Amino acid sequence: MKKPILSRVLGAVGLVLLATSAVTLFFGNTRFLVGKLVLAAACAAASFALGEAGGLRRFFTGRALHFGAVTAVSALALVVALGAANWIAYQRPKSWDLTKNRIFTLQEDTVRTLRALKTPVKALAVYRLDEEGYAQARALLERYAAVTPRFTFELVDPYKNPEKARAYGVLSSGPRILLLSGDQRAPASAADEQGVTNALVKVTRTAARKIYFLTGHGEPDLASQEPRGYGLLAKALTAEGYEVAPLSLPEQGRVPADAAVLVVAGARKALLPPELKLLDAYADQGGHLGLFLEPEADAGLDKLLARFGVQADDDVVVDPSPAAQLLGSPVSPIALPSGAHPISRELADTALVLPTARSLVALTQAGVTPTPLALTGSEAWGETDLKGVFERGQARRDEGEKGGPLPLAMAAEKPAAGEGQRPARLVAAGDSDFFTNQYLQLGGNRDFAMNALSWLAEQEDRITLRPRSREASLVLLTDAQATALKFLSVDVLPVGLLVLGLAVWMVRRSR
Amino acid sequence: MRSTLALAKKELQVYFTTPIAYAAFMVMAFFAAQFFTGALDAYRTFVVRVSGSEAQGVLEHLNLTDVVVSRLFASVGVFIVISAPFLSMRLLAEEKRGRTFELLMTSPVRPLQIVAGKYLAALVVMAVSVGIVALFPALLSLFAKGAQGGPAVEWQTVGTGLLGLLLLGAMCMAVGLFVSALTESVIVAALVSLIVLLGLWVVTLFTVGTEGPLRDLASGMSASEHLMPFLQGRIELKDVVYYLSFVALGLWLTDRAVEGHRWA
Repeated sequence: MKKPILSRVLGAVGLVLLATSAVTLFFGNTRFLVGKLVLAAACAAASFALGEAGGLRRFFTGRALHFGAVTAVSALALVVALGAANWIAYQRPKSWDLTKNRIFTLQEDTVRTLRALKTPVKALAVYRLDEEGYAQARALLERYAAVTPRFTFELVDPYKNPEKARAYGVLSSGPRILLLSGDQRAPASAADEQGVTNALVKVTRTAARKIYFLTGHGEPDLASQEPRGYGLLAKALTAEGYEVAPLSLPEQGRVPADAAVLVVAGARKALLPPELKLLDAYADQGGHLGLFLEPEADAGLDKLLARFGVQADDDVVVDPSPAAQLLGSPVSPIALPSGAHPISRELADTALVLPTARSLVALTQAGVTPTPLALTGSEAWGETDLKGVFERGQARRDEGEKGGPLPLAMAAEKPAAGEGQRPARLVAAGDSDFFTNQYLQLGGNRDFAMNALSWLAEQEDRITLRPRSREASLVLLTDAQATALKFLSVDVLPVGLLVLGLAVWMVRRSR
Repeated sequence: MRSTLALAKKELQVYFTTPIAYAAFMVMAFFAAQFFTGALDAYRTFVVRVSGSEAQGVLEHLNLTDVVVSRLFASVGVFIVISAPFLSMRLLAEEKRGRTFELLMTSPVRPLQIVAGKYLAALVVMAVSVGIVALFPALLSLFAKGAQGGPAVEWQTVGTGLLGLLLLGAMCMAVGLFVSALTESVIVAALVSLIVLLGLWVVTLFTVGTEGPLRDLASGMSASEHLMPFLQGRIELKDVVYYLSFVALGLWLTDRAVEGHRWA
């Protein structure tokens, strides 16, 4: 081959290699990329060296060379400048939302919360890349991050990065977006603006978030993984940023000052008088109590309950409905959450299963009116013959026994007693088994328990943001109209353009 | 300025007296119409299917602008990328092949004016193309209405969508003009710009399943990713900067290529 021709071929090969390196870049292997670039450079150099001997020398001298060099340098400079402009536009997002309902604009409460951030907050979103919600979650978090540099986010693929997802206790079934700030963490109740903004409020509020569980009266063990243990619940609470600890009042001698919530769940023996006195004092100072009882077990909490207007009857709820039979036994009643309280509002359509429960009654004449959280169906009744049920396995509805719907869980709030005190809160339920390891995953049990405890810890969502969306539209097309529309758009329009083009072209040709 | 406009006018006369522009418009109209009627049919059958069941919540968020118009515009983006090379291929290559380029170069118009005139004409053709697509939401608004009595089609969102398509068209035309300046063959010009533009359109395919900076780089370079916010009704500064960067780069390089002819 003649040298000049060889030189041209090599030059072309070098150019092709250089141009296609852009694709090689995305294979993520630097060695391939570097190899290709080196090869391209070698081809170009060889082409130049061979060209020197041929007629290329003339081309590379004088004014043409000068022009080429100047052009190459200024093209490079322009590319760099444009790249920088794009990069800056990425770093400082600015957008104009022109939709009618401003559906891509964060609402005022959110913006205010973000502007008030004093510490950095990081959002961790666990989504598969190909998942439906991925793009939405990403877009939402990008809008948050655009408001303030203190808010950053990271998307974690649970399949590619399971350790990371697990380290934060984020499960595919649990919260998908978790907010972290310092050592505080709070999950978003949903992957929407209301969920994330409320989590943002929680994570920046440095309130005590410690939940104590009373021990020493035969309560299920917090650390236990046995069927009758609270291990799973403790784990779920830890994942949502709560601290969970057992509390033995006789040893401590007082309710710790950092207690956000004190839970008495499943006590089989009566509490001692000094313990009850401490609990009374705790309630007086605006304490938040969760009292979860059992039939046939008197923990001696009646007086304490009565202060909140709640009374637990000495019965066991029997539920003959088919649903209850399906899930266990006639003494594991099904209860539906009521929409009357923040704890149960969101759970209105998932039933709770409460194995062996007592029914609760709201006391009249009390200063506080409790709100029922969950009610049984109308077929259930409160069986007072406990011996008959538990020893002989018989139950019959007698005169004088209460019929359903029976409240099985209640919440009450007592106004603050004095200046600078917080209102006391109580959640009471006639059952403490429903959040043991064995039953936690049944129905709405887990969500109900978590909601009840977070309400007690004052971690309920306080900001309500109505999600904005486009107005729904109606299409009013008869089939004839639809066909006409199809005819207009698929047939008349393109054919019209074609005819127009043909006519113009023929007129031109005839001239 | 006057010579720029005169050049643009002459170029437009060529566009609208040869079949190529009409063919492009026809293809665009036909495929867009197919997509439009298909999406509308799917919408109607979906509404019928979920009506009466408990899916009231679904219907409350079902909006024609999102479901029909935005999807139509997204597919129109592909047609623009495919049709632009054929609309821009002859802009300069034809002049070179017909040896009229020397006449242009020796006339008292500066290279910049030549480039600006030709590009202006290309933009007008692109605007007509996009204008054809705007007919479909207009058709739709005759037959539908909002559930709360508002208009069925959100014109603000349709407007940003059209703006995005126009910017994409401007980018494609600038790239095509530059490629056309490099060769005498219109076929080569069309093919090369098609390869470049399609590559930019599907660049994210190379990084499917990867994460981190490479993926970000790919989506930052992708012409299709930058179109999405426009279709949803938002104008993002970064997207505008992206498209205008390509316009600026394409026009400047074309100017240099034309200038370079004096030296070669």
